[in-house]
Amino acid sequence: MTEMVTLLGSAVAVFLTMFCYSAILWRDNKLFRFTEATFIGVGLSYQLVINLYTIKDKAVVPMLSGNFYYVIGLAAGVMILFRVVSKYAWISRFSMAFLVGIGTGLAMLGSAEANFWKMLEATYVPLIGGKYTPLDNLFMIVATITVLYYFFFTYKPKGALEPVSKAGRYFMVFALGGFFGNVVLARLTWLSSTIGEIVTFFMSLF
Amino acid sequence: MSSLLRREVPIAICAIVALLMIFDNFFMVPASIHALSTEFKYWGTILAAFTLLLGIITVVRVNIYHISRKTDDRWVFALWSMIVFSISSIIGLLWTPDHPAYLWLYDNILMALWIAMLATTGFFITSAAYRAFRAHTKEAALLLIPGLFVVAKNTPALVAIWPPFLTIGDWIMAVGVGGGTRGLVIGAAIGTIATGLRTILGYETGYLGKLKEK
Amino acid sequence: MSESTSLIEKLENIDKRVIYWLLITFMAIPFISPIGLPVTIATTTRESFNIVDNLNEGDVVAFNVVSTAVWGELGPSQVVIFKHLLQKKCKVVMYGIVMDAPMGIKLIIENSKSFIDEVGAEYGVDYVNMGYFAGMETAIASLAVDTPGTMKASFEGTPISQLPIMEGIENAGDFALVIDFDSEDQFVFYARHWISNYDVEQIVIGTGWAEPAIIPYWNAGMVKSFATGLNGGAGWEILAKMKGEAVIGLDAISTSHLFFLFVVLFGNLIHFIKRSKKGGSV
Repeated sequence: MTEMVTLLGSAVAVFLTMFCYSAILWRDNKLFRFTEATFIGVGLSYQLVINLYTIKDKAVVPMLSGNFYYVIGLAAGVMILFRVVSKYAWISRFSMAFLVGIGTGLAMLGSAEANFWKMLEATYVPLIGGKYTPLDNLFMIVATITVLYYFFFTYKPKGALEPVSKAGRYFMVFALGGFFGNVVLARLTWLSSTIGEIVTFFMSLF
Repeated sequence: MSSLLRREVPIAICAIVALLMIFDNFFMVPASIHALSTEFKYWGTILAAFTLLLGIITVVRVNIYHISRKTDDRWVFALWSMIVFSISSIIGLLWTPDHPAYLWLYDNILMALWIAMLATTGFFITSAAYRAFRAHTKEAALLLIPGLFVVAKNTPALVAIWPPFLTIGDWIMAVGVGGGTRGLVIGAAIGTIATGLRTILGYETGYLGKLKEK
Repeated sequence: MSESTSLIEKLENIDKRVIYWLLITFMAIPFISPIGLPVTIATTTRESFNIVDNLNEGDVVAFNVVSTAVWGELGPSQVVIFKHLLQKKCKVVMYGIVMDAPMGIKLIIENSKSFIDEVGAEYGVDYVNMGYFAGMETAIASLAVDTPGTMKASFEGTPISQLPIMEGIENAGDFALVIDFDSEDQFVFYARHWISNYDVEQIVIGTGWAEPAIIPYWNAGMVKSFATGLNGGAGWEILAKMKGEAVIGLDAISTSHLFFLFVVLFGNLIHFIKRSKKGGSV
């Protein structure tokens, strides 16, 4: 019985994947629309179930265990849901402001330390020494400075500063080339894993 | 009074909470302030769960709209969506997400389709590569050539045939990408700090939704 | 002349579905008839492996899982690294900040079942599923400052006080290592709130498109080392001497990448031939 349920599950997964790809490999069709609707239905349900359980485990249970001040947090959460009713949407602003405040504070302090200060430290290195050659270190220092300069839109670079801005653009494009190569890796890996599942399933039947 | 309550008070809440987070990290604050900051971070995780519920309400409303209006071509699929949503939610809530029936739904429908939908980008990047990735300008060539070397580095067959592909690809990633991206990261950090300051000072109010008050 | 121009134009405007079908054919071939290409282990994969291999018995590791949507790329890595940690007798606290983290953790445990029985690892003592934490950066910041206060209980509802694995864990500094499986930029949040403020190290096992973003943080020391995608997982399987699914998938990566390179070069060739026929102008 368990084996049959597992086989049925694999068959459902494989056929739904094939229906999903039918829109790309052939044309838009009702099988794809059916698959899309199924995905939305199950996806929404998972989002509902997991978030309700999260709220229950992280807020309701602690509140019922004696931490009664959690009712404030729960009330703030319920206030967010008023956003869907336009007459009372203003009630959600207090909770959203709270959430945005936390995010803003954390992003600012985190950016200042990790994204700004530590990156500057990493740029301010001796040319000779470390894990890179002097030429590599020089490349990275020049790339960092010129790319940063490219994003200075306060005034248009003129004269001697124009090549600096142009160099920044070229270094950035070079870096984006590396990004592109790795994006290809990611996407082709995801696709090949699904094709592998389909092929392996049909081979196991014969 | 209405404008004060509905606009200024939320902006003040945002500013106070943001400053609390910053002060707690950078200054020696009393233990009570530190405890409050820690508690606020925890409440943030609970509120985030509620915002995700908002998305569900919106999608359900859109589907119900299509069903009630019997929109051509859409209402049947919207109805199917809501039927699947209802059945899976009942299973998940009455039993737990741990229940074998719910796990079956997750593994064989949601996870399979999630992977499949994400993987469709593999098709599009290949067709885009044929039609659009042309080295017709200096910048396009400067983008394409390192990109192709990195693709070659990620191809085990090519690395087996000519190992320097790995060395060149590794250099492009570590030095080329490392240098350029660091500039972008620092720039983005400055942007984040500037946007944060604007939010604290009340210039950024997008999170308040539609502002009818002046 | 007009015939060859028309051929060039036909090739330039080829139906994209032809490209799609050719792509999946090239991908399917290695699954039907495996090629068995050699695996090259990246230096950073070796470094990451050595960091885990040098952990001591009893060290508690924070194991941040990734969305199951990228299971094809990072699933095998998650399984082999989890097994490696159990083999080293480390304690593995598994959680995630993506919604499907609890399901991803269940899959990892399911795929490691026989190994768990082999090493005698016990749930709640040697490994645990702490579930999902909403809020992305807020969740990671909260976990850093007050880990038991944020986690509260396992995914099954067992309170922290009843989980031996969580004894002595107060904040991020009590973990020996953070292993972050990443498809976007969660490692940035760890860099900001864990690495900057506490004495803990981070290794990142990322998808292909996370790697370029990881590099500046790796150069700056906020990421100790990293491994990428299926290549990383395959390398880890070989180093740990554990059979897994990563190596099987590499042949398909080779054939699909080769087809991709051909498509780009052919497309450029067509473009330049057409351009030369028009006298240098497009």
